[in-house]
Amino acid sequence: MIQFDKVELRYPGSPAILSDVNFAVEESSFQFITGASGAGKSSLLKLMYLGLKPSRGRLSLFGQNAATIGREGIPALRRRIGIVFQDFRLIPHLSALDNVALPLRIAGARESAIREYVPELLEWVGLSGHFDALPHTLSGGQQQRVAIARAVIGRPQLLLADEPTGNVDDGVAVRLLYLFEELHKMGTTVLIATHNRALVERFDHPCLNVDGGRVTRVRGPGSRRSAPRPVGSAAGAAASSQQRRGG
Amino acid sequence: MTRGDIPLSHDPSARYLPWLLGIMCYFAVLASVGAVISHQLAARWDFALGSVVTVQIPAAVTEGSDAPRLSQAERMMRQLPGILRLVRVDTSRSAELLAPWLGAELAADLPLPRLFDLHFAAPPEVDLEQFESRLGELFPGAMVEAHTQWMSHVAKLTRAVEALGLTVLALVMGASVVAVIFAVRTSVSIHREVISILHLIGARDGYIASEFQAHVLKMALRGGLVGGFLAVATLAGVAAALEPEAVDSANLIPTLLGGLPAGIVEWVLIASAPMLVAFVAWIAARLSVLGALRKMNP
Repeated sequence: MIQFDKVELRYPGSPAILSDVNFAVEESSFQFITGASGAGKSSLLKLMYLGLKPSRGRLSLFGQNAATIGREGIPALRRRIGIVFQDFRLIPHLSALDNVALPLRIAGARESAIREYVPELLEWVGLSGHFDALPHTLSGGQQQRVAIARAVIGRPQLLLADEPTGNVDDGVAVRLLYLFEELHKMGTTVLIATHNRALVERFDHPCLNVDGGRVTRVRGPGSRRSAPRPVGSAAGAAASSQQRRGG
Repeated sequence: MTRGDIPLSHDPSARYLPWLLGIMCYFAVLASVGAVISHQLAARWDFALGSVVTVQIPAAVTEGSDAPRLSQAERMMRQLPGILRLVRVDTSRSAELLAPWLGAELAADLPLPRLFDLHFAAPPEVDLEQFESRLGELFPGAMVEAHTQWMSHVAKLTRAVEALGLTVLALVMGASVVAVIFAVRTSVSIHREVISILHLIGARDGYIASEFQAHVLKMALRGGLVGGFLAVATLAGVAAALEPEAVDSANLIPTLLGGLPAGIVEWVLIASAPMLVAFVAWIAARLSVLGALRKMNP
């Protein structure tokens, strides 16, 4: 699904942020990306959603060379990707419900489907009483859950999450990770960038480490078994909604 | 996109653009009316005067001394192809018209020429010079006037007014486009962050542009309808302020405000001025947003 081949990223006149990056993300895989703050995890994710383009090397996304994807091709590619931003990037004047509904509206979903599935997902992430709340009235953790709900509502093929548990307590963090696992089981490829080593240790998934601009694999698949618990039906509902829309 | 993903209604442009477009629309309607009036007057006068010929026969030395020749001249006039009617202007009426300048007594004593108005269904195609020379055989000094020279001056004037109206309309459209472009570019700059989020979620430029378009169209229609209404009210006020006779003789305002003499096509054109301004603003908004978005990273 994603292939980095000798990829380098640098801004003009600056040292390389990432250099000689070589790894592949297989379809339907689940991977963590760890590293200290400022190591380049966010830049790595930005390359994957075409927020940045490689300065050198070849990056392949969904079988397409990133260098040849034109402006017109980017929206369609991004609709296959759900992104959880470190700073949430919610739209300030839209309610929690409308923020989560955005990807569906952009994809042209029916309002009836939006009214059915968005509240269900918001309830699942623990925001049942905050449908109409504006982002600035929500706590950091609540905003993060809105951002996660927005990223997964369209059941993307690829989920990129940048520190998705940075503002929630451990219990909620684990619960959110189970949501990502649920999506993964339904075929979504998941990449989570986090500096929370304890969380990474708790789940048995491959792990990449970013350090000094280089990416290394620190744990391969199946190194330890995790014991995921059932986590409700919201992600399933999102998936069903996508399937009913023909997505 | 009807829910307002981008909060455009809070922009500074949302406060001034409807007013600006309303004023533009006001001038657009007045300019359209001016152009339509000029066009109609030109056509009307062209028909009314272009299809009337005046024949002037010198006064008789003594009353009735040339009656047989005059009857023959009238027969010649009635036999002209395409003539609808022949109206002999009463000599006393001619004297009345001259009285304000010459005085009633002198005007009554003057030997006034006999005047005939020849009304044709359309501008006559007969050779009027030849007709004049034939009349001259009966009455030396007889004159045939077709008003065409005077008409050409009037036609030039009305066409100039019509062109001026259309020029003002074009300038109004141009100013509207500039105002919309400026407002839209400012809005794009203000909402750069929200636009960036929409892009990251997978929104196409067209999706984002459609929100700006809907916003501008709403403002343009709101301003346009108010401006259009005020323009019609202004015309109604002008019509009411004019004396009825003056209005009737000038045949200007009632042509439009009376509605009936003006064609439905002209009325539709006038009523469409606010729609035209709104449509132009809508197109300008789309092109302007798409241009601004192309300069942003998707």
